[in-house]
Amino acid sequence: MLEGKLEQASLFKKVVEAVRELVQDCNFDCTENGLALQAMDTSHVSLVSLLLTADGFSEYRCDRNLALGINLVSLTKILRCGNNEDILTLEAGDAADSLVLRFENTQQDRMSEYALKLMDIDQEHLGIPETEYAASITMPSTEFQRICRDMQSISESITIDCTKGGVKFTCEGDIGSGSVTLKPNSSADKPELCTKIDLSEPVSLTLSTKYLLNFCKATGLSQQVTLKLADENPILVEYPLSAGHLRFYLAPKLDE
Amino acid sequence: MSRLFIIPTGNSESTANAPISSIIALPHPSTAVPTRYLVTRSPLAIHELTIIDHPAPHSTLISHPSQSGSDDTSTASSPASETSPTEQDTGSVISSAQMHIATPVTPFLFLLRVLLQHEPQYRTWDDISDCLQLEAPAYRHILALLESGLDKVTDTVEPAAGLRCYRLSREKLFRTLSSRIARMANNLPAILTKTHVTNMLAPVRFDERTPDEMYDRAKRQVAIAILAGYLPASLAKEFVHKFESEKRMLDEFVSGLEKARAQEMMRQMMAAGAGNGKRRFEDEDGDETSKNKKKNANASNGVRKLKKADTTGMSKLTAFFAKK
Repeated sequence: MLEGKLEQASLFKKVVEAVRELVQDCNFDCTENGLALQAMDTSHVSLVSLLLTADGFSEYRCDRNLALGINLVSLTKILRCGNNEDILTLEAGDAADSLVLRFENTQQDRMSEYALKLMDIDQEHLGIPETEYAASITMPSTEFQRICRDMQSISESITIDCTKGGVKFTCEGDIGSGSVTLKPNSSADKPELCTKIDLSEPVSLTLSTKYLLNFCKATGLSQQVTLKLADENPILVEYPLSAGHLRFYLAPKLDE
Repeated sequence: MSRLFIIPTGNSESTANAPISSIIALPHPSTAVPTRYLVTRSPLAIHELTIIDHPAPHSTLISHPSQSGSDDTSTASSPASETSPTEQDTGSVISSAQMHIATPVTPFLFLLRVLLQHEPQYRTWDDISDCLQLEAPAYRHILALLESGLDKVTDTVEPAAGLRCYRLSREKLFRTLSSRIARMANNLPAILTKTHVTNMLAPVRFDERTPDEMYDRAKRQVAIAILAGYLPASLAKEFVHKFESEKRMLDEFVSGLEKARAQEMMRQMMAAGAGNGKRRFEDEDGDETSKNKKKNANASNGVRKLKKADTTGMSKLTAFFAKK
């Protein structure tokens, strides 16, 4: 039996909208610790990993581990039936074939309830090892989104070079080339606009623009995004949540 | 130690009470391996024995039908010691659950190996019976029975009045055996019919039907195989070969079915892969285009765009992260 109450439906809406850009169907794994999700895109070059810990819910209960197989487009359709400010309760029985979503608007005394049919999804989970990243860049999520958007019209791939002096995003395409350099900066009154770089050694990765832009669908979830890079390893793009995280991994393009 | 035998009553009342004359060891008609057979007197008949045993220690309670209702025999798991003295008066307990099932065997089968040894020559019955007894002395118990079956499988000549000589006639033997195929085919045990006929010929789709003649052919093949199991190797080969064309037709039909079954399975797997899980049945009746439409409706714009993304030079994540 799963019962999870979120004070604001918008958090779950945004999470689902970000994940659905990458995967079609996936299992939501419910445990006593919270709600987790791990899925790869169809090409298996990127992976999304979501964690909503039990602390993030105003009420949370899960007696037995459940895997809720969900088509994310269908889930979005149902989530659109509720308002952002509604209290959202997720409910599923142990052998349920559907997930119940209940929206409550306390001001208007309106309550709506929808049930989403579940699917059997045979999904494999990957064990993600603790990686020593050579560089960790924390920057405003909107800035990262803007860079990806701007560069998508120029090239299929973006190269991220990180040195002590700063991080440089470059692209090179048929029509020309471009680059954006960000230097570390900090401002005490606006921490969300800071750029912070932790570097153990210079690193450079070339990544697919389309995929990075896809990850940027999570921009609304967090004001800051962290990019973690290690040579010839998948990049980690992490959007921290108040209780949990939304992480994307993407395999780099390697010269063959 | 007592043993429990189950003997067919056949048509005649007397068989049920026929005293067991003996259990004798004879070479098996096909393999020549010494095998135990049960012989009943009046009427004289030979039975092969199948032992059915229970893996765990069991005892058998035998009670008399006149005193304890319809159950002739019942397997009791209770130990023999629990039987009260009054019950012992009306029945008995055998300290084993072994059942010896006796099934009649056609006597002429036992003649074939000896007849085959001297095939081209005509020989007198005395000669043949000497040969038989030389092979296994126990043949003397059933000589009369064997002699009566001689006509079914031999050609005869009478070189002098009162002297009859016999030699193996394959034509007669096969004619006799063939006459039994149909009878056996229609009376196969359910377990054989299920494994060798019904399952093998089950149609691929519900709306299809396997022709009755194929069922008949499959049943006949089972009967032929059983009969061949009682013949010496060379005769068995020849016998089976006579039905070669019939078998080929059946084999062709079955391999066609298997191919269709494999294709059907592939088709279902593909449909299942596309539809996924609980909703897969909706997809099955749709044609290709509607299936694609449906697939697209279930995927977001982002997912569709990513399908077109260039992933050359990118390794799969499974190359970095191990599967759990």
